[in-house]
Amino acid sequence: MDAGTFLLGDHSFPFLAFFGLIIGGLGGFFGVGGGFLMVPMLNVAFGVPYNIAVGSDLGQMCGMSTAASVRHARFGNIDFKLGFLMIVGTATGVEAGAQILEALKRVGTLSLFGREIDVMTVVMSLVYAALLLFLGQAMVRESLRSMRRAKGEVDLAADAPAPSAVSGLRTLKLWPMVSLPASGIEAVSLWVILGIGFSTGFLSGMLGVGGGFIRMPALVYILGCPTVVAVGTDLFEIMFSSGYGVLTHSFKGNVHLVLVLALLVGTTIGAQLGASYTRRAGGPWVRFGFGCLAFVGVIMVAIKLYAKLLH
Amino acid sequence: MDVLAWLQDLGRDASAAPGFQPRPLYLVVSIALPVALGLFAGFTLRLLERVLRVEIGSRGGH
Repeated sequence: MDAGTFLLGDHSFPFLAFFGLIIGGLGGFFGVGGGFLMVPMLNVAFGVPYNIAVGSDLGQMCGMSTAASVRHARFGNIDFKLGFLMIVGTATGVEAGAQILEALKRVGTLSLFGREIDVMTVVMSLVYAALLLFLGQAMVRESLRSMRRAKGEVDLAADAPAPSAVSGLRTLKLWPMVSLPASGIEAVSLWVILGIGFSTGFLSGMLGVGGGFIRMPALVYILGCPTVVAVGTDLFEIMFSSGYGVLTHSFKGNVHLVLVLALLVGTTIGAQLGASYTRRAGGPWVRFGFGCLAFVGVIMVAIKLYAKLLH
Repeated sequence: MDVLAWLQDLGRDASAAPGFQPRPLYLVVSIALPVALGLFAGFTLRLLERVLRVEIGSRGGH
C-alpha cells in the first residue's frame, strides 16, 4: 500500500490530530508514552497498516522525547554518559526489530479459517495483545496492592521486593567495566548497559514503542540509577532510539509525514493536558485505570482481527 | 494547508512494496520534522515556565 495515499486526504488531519490529542492525553495522564496504544489503535480506528503505523509513531515519539529531553536537561536529570553508551545497544536492537517487521511484511498472506490474511497483521496483533495483557495485569495487580497497603491490609515487610537474579546483574564483573558518576554508580559491566539498550531497542524497532516501561525499571533495579535520572535518561534514549527508528523505517517507506505531523501536534498538547489532570487523581487509581485501558486495547485488537477474518 | 499538501506529495513515493528507493528529501524531512517540532515545543515550554514561573505538566512521561 502506498504510504502517501492510504489516508483520504487533507481532511483527515484534524481527526488524526484529535486522535493524537486523546492518546497523548492518556499518556500524559498515566505518565507513559502511549506508543503501545497508538500503533494498534491507528490500525484499528484508521486502518493504517502496522508497518506505517510503527514508522510514523516513531516519528511522533522522536518529537515528543526531544521536547521532554530539553526540559529534563534543564533539571540535570540526564546521565549523558550512560545514555550515549546505551545508544550502541539500542541502535542494534532497533535495526533487528525493524528487519523482523520487514521480514513479516515480505512473508505475504496465510490461510486462516478459510480466509486469506496477511501474516504481519496476525503476528503484530497477537504480539500487541500479549504486550497489553502483560502491562495491564501488572498495573492492576500493583495498584490493588498499593490500595491494600494504604488501608494497612498488607504487611509492608512481607510486601518488600525480594533481591533477585535481575538486580544481581549489577554485580556482574565482565570486562569492560565503566563508572557512571552522574548516577552514583562506581562500576558496572558495559555488556549489561548494552543488553538493556538492545532489548528495549528491539521493542522500539518492531512495535513502535518507546520501551520506557522496560528501560525505566531496568535502569533503577538493574543498574541502580536514581529514579529521576532514570526518567530523564530514558527519555534521552527514546529520542535516539526513535530517531534511529524513523531513519531506518523511512528507508523502507514506512514513515507517513502527514500522519507524523498530525500525531505530533495532537500529542504535544494532549500530554500537557493529561499530565496536569494527573495531579487531581490518586496514584493507585491512575495506575488501575491504565491497566483497565490496556485490557480495552486487547479487546479492540481482538475485534479487529476477528473482523479481518470475517471479511 | 500547502505544507500538508507538500508533505503528502513528498511521501507519495513512499511505498511498502519491495525494492522501494526513498528520495533524499523524504529521508531528511522524516527525521528533521519531528526533531525540529520537538525542539520548538521543548524550548517554548522552558521559556513559558521561566517567564510564568510555573512547572507545566511535570508528570508527563513524554
